[in-house]
Amino acid sequence: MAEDRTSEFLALVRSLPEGSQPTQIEVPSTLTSGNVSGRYNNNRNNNNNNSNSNNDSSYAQLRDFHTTAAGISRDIAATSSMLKDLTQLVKQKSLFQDDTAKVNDLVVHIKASIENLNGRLDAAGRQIAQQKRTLGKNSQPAQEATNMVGQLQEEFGQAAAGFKTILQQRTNLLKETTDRKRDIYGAQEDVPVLNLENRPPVYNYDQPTGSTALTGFPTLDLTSGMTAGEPTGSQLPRPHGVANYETSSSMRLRHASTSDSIPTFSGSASSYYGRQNSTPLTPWDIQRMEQESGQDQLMQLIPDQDYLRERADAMEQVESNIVELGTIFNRLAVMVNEHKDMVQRVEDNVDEANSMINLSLNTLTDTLTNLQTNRALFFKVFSILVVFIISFIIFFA
Amino acid sequence: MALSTSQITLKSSQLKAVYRMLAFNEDADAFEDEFSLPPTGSSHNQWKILIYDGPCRSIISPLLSVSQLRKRGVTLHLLLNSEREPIPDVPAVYFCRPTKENLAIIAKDCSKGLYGRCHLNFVTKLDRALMEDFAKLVVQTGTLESIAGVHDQYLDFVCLEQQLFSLAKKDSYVQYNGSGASEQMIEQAMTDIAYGLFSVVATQGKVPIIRCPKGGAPEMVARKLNRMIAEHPTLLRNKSSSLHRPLLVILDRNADLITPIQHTSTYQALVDDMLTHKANRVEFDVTIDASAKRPKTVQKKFDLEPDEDPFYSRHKFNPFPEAIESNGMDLQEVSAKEQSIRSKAAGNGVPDPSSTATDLANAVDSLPALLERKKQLEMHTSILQAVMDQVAARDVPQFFELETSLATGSYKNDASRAKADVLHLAADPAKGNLEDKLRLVVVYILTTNAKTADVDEVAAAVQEAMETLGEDGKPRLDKLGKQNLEAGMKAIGYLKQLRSMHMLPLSTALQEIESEPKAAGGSVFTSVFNKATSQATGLLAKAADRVSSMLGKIHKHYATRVVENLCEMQPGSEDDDFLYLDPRVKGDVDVQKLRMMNRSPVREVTAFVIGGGCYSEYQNLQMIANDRRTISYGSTELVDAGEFLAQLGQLGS
Repeated sequence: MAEDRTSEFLALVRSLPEGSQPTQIEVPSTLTSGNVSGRYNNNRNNNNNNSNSNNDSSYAQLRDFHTTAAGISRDIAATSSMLKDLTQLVKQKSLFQDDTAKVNDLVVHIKASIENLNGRLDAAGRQIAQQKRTLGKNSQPAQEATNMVGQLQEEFGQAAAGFKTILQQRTNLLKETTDRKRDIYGAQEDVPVLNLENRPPVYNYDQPTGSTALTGFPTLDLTSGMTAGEPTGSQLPRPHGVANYETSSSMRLRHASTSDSIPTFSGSASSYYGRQNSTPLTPWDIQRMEQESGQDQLMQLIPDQDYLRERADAMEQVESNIVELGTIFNRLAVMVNEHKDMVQRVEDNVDEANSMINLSLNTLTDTLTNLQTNRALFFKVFSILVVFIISFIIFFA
Repeated sequence: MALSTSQITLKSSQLKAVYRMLAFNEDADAFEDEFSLPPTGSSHNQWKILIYDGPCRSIISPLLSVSQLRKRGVTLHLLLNSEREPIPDVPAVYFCRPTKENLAIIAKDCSKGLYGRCHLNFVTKLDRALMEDFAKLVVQTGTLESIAGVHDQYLDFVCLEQQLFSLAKKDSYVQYNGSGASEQMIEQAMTDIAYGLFSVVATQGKVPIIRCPKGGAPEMVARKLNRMIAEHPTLLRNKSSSLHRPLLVILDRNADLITPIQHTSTYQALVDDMLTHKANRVEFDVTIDASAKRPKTVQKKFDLEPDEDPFYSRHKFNPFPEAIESNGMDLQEVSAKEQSIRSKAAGNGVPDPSSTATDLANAVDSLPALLERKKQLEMHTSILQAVMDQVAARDVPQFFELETSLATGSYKNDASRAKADVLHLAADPAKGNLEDKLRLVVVYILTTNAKTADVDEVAAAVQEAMETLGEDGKPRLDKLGKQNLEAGMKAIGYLKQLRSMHMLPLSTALQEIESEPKAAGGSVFTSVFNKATSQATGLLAKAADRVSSMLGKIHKHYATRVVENLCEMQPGSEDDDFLYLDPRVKGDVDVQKLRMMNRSPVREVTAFVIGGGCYSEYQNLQMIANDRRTISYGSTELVDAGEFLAQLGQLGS
């Protein structure tokens, strides 16, 4: 239960300049409150200018940075609200109502904004690194800005992870609906599980866009996630935005060539590192590929067994890749957690500083005693010398 | 003891208030849980800097970790009196005590224009005079613009657990029992305590009925508090809770000096007793490879989260051996789960890809949570081990047993046997350390009406035992130990003096044995325990054997009995002679008259002890809490036995 005493305080302050403060040596007071505040404002600015003139440029930079940060966080908020919409759409498990267009739209939007955000976050990080040089590494403004970027990155990571789970959900749901449709419209018994071609031609898909061009299969680039593992890079996966649209034939070739080099799930992280230069594709692209492959299916009314088998393989590939991506994201989550563990309690900083001070005090006292003992030694040697000289003078002179 | 988080407790109310403060005192009720929180930096959750002083830091630190603060948009948290650099344009939230020095620092900050707008929050009431001074400063420096708001938060208490709080007043027992304290000092101390309690009441938001014994510090505090609540403009108007009024019981430490001194047997209390335990943080030294020539000692620090940590919240009130046993079992279970997940992840050659993929994904998702749990359990293992080492080295169970039987009055008719037993334990230099022996003597004085000569004899035996040479030929006490011995003797002298003035409640059965069958349950525990010993390994097992005798004895301490009587309105008990103050009613209320009416049952109780509380009392009180009744416990400060002994010693000198 907090008690707001702002108005009481303001009333008190306003009552002051009129009577009780004759000693005040200031500009003759103008009594309306608006003027008063304006004057104070000016004063403050003057003070600021006087004391901080040398630092002005770096503060201006900081100010810039703050506005950028605010922009980024606003966009993160927008993205997460879009994500919420997407979740809702995905969770509607209706068999016949299909919001593919809407979902696609949202996915594209979110993907774009995530890419955009990632770039801006990186830029902000660089800006901070630069400013640290001008402000000094441990200065409080720099710390503040670094913390801010850290928090933004964490939030961004969360949003991206949320996106991932939604995509996963969406894939599962799509598969489920396919299964259900098959159940309803009857399936041929002798086909393997993942043969997607068995959708009966009877079913009329209500497709608003109907893009007829055959678009490519996904190749999955795991390096996009792995940049996170590198100590120098940003902490977050960096989506390489370009989705590759290629003709299906060349696509198939590529697929054949890369599929054997895609590491197994149990493989260690290091095995991913060698493949930096293969064509990148991000998890969000998978979603789109899913969509598009669904559309393709409609076009493909005449079953071509070889081609379809290949597609089924590709599906599997995509699925296993999603799982792999999942591990990457998890590793990322662990990293974020570790980052959190570093500073847990508010006192920690102070405690550390305290112990440092104690340590330095100890060192100082040690040095002091050291010096003192040296001095004692010096005195001893000197006194012995004097005794010798005196005895020398007495006995030989 | 695990409480659902939705329940409104003192801690959750305080947390809510802090959240509101961090949201610049705008209405932040919508964003109470972390998931619905808008991203930091947006218009509802701005970036800000938190600036606090020492006492306020100790209020915040058990409530919020750094990362939680970050989520609330706090990018930096700085001490008020540390050196601070300008960070322009960022709003600052000040949270500190309303003192002259603090206000001067704030005014200086404003005049330097360190930050953007300043939101001032004071932990208790900002006096009108101080406010006037501050206003003058602000006008002189011409920085009225930069002050965005002034709020009194009434949060002046440290909430360590859902139902445990402390006012963090140092040496509170000395403060009002010391002979050197002037009338004015005592008055000031009591006002401080009343302010603290008012914060508690205000945070709870309900007007309590105050009960306290007549005379002395409790009455003083109760009357002050009563007036504060009655004079407060908004608190009384809150009529929503008029049916079930909470009960606030204010007690005096002098009524029961034994509890903080006595040895204990439950997990949390032992941690507090054996290790350094402050504000939910445990510290202890661990010796690494003791077999090596130069054993290294490493200091370990752990933060305990009594409400979030499932193991701790389940076992903090359980007897120590039980905690050890279930720790072992839990750890095994978690390791097995982890193993199964890891093997699943490794065995990739399963042919059916569609189901394994999701399985795998789920398993991998659950792994971090599992690892987190394992980490927690391992932390508890090392804490348990450290406690065990101490317990085994000091023969704590023997002290515990003897003290318990003294306190429960088993020696009532046999003073000479009591003395013989105490003397036997006190004179044996191999058993326990100085503190343990002194505590035993204190309990002996407080529980029996042994003759002064007997007491002197026991005390002398302790002194003698500690001054004999140890096995390795070195004296048992270093310089510090000798000082402690002296202080302990002074404490004993003080208690003797109190006793001779008949100021101590000298009932031989200060703690009554619970008549429930739990007392007979010792054999059950032992059988369970045998199983545990076979599972545990090494030193833990050997030493745990010694603690097994700690089981099976549960008795109610003084505070617990009083609270129970007051709650159940037992006629002929404390209910009759305690004061009954109701802030809604002017003057005292006669309990006898109330008996005629139908009094509604008590749902919420806050027990408050003036002069220091301890974990064993807290645990004992929770025994009488149930579904219909929650009991919060608070005190001026939380002391362990050593600190309390030192305070007694200060009084003796």
